[in-house]
Amino acid sequence: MTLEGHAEVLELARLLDAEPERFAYLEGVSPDAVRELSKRATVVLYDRDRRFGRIALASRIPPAQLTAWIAQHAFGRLCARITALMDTDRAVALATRMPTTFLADLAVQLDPRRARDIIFALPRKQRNRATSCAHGPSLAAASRSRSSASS
Amino acid sequence: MAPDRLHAVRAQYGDPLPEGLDALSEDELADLASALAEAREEQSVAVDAAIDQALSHLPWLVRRPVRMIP
Repeated sequence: MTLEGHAEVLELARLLDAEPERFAYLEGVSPDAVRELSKRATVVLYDRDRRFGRIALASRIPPAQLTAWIAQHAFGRLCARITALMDTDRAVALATRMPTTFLADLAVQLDPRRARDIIFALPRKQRNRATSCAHGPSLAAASRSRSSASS
Repeated sequence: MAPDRLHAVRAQYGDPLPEGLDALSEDELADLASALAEAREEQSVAVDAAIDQALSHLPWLVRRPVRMIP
């Protein structure tokens, strides 16, 4: 099994909230195929649940401080699924009211392709702290992708 | 006609499936399909619970417009 293949299996397991050992049999499948499975699972989990869009809309109504508290205490890691559906200004307003450790947890769960604009709209200091707390592969991937896009 | 071994995986992950999955055993294919089905179910339950909890924290004046979002 290649390192790349193992990383893809880890990503699929993280997405499906399962132990990576469960998918040991996928280590014989090509990394591209496992990556494609993760993409499909992302679409199923993020896009086919219309409640996330409604929650993103609802998050505009209460004051930002209250919404940020509710997001953290009621939705927890599910915030990562909702973030990409929010407008950037509102998402940043909420993120700046959340603890760095919580943002770090979210960073690991975020799909950087969907939340790129929000990640880079965060104040640099907060983004750096969250990244260093999480050692977030998602943020790191987004950073790499942004760097390569700008070079 | 041979039964479609990949039917359950296709039903969960969509069509066309990436190449190479037909090398997996019946049990492995079943597990791959059920892993996503379980994740969907767990997410659905978690979202329901989170929505209930979130609404319970909202002042009643705000709760009504939030509930009205289509």
